[in-house]
Amino acid sequence: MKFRSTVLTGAALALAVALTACGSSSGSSAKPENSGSKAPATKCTGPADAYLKTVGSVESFKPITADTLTVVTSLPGPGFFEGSDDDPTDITSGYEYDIARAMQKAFGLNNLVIRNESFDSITAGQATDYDLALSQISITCERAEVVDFSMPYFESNQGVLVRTGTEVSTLAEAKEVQWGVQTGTTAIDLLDTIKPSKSPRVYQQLPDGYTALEAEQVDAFLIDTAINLGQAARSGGKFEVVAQFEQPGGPDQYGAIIPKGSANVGAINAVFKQLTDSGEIKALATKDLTADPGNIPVITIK
Amino acid sequence: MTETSTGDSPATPALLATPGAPRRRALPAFRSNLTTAVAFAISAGISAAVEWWMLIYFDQSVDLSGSELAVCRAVEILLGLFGVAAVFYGLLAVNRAIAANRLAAASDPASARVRAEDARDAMWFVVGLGLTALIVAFIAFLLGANDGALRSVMFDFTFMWKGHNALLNAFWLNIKIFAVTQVLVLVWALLVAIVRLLPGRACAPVRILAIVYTDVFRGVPAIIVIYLVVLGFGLARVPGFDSMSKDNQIFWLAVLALTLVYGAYVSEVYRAGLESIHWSQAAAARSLGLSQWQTLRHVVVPQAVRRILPPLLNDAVALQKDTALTSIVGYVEVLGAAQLLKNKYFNLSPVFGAALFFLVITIPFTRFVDYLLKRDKQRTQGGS
Repeated sequence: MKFRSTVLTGAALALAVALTACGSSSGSSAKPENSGSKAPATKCTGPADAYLKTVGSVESFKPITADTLTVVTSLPGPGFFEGSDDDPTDITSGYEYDIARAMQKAFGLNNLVIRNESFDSITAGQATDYDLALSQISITCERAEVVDFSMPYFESNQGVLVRTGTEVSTLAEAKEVQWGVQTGTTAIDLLDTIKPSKSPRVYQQLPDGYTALEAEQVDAFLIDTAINLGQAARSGGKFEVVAQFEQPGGPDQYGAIIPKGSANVGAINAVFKQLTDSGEIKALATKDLTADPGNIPVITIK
Repeated sequence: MTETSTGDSPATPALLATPGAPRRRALPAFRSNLTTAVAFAISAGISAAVEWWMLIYFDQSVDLSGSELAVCRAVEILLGLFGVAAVFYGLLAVNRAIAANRLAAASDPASARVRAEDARDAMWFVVGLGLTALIVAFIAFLLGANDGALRSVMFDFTFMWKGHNALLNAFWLNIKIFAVTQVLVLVWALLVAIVRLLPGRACAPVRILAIVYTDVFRGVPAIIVIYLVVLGFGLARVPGFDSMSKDNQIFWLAVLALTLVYGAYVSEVYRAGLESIHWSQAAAARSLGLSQWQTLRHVVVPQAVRRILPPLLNDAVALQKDTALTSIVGYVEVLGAAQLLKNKYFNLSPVFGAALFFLVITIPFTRFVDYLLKRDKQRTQGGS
């Protein structure tokens, strides 16, 4: 009896495991089936196809919490969210913070709530209960399959942050250094193109990556130039941005993430359009992002 | 019902009531178990219906065609057979109970009791089968819920297969960390355990040191130790590690961190083993003229290690799993690689794939430990 029972239970469990294989038809696309059905009609080949261009009326905005604009971001965001590296309630300035404030004003809401989420959960569409995410997020086709993007509000190349004195000025040198990146960022895709000889170290959190750079466990940290410039400015001369990559597909474009299928895209785009047309968004960038990425030497990738 | 008895003490086992026993008790009343069998058969029917409903629910979430669909349906039907089997055994129990009644009526109490017992046996098998069927069908139900969302975000084998090479290469790093750490742990922990058991006032300072070490490192989560040791030693430019290449440095720092944590655990296992060897063994060895060291080396430690082999292997399994914690410091071992793939596909299946890699190692390992425990139990308690 005991033997029979063991065999039967084992068989039942094996069959249950086999069930997990059902339904994953081979060659299925990278898109989870449960995402919203608002798929773009054309095939996405670059950032230009990946964001939604609808411009609606500002008044049509419906916040997730009454009278409150809920913005998620992944802290720290040097230059973009200033005031604290971990407590979103202490944020008082920064480029994206100022955009959030402008948006709150445009929508006529009384409160602004900033919430901290991990970067990869924002870009993978796992974060919920927010109006929009401003977190130096590059618009990509892959991300656009699980979240919606607003029109772009900033352009950035990938910058190379090193300990002061380290040389990375050519593609050949870039292939030889030990890279560090943050998980879920477009820097990983860029390293796939560069093909460095040592496999990169991947950090869950941005500060861990910077610590590893200081600890000499990586030689260079790759992330958007604007973010790395912010870190270099804070490091008291320990770090510097020595180069940035000119990517084959052009620089990364930052867009706000809006939950997939949200009706607020039009209203949010309307505010971005206002801010761009009035020149305010450029003025904010000059005010908040002190170092100018234009001065950093460029490495071209063919 | 030809048999008569008080039936007041149904808990008394019938076997005790043999003639000639010092205190004779009456047999418990004969029960054919018919009512219970019928109830169980009906429950089996209900559970089978629920199971089939859940399986059909699952089936509706499946988006396949051709031979794949056929295989999938076959699996579903095989699972459905568990519910059918439960009903079958329920009816069998009823049948046996009726037969028992008939035998009892025909004045064959012994056979009647045997039949009734058979009915009981079938009844409990109904419970086992029915519960298994329900639990497994419930898993299917969860997998099918929300149009198979769980299945497509966590168990999509195409994504696992796409990343299997990257995962395999990364898992090799886990194996390397594990193998090196395990060897160091076994040596280091034995040393700590022996120091902790050193006698006399002279050894008190080192003894206290060993106690403090085990208390601290058993009390701190492994992930914190790894974080502090790997990043901290790097930042502090600790001599020895600082001159290593970057790959070696992070490897050996990870090994060091895990050795510190697991050394504390394993030293306690060793200590339990060493203390379980009766003091007379050491006394006898000493009286034969063996030194303290020789006593440990030839008498105490060999016996202790044999005794603690299962818990040692248990800790080895735990260590093997905890190598995944090194992903926190940027080490792209199997979990780190799986997370990279997860962010590439926006799908958790590669992480589940990483879990499978661990299972391939740890399940045979734990079975082996169970086998050793069983053998040990037979040897020490079985009485040859």
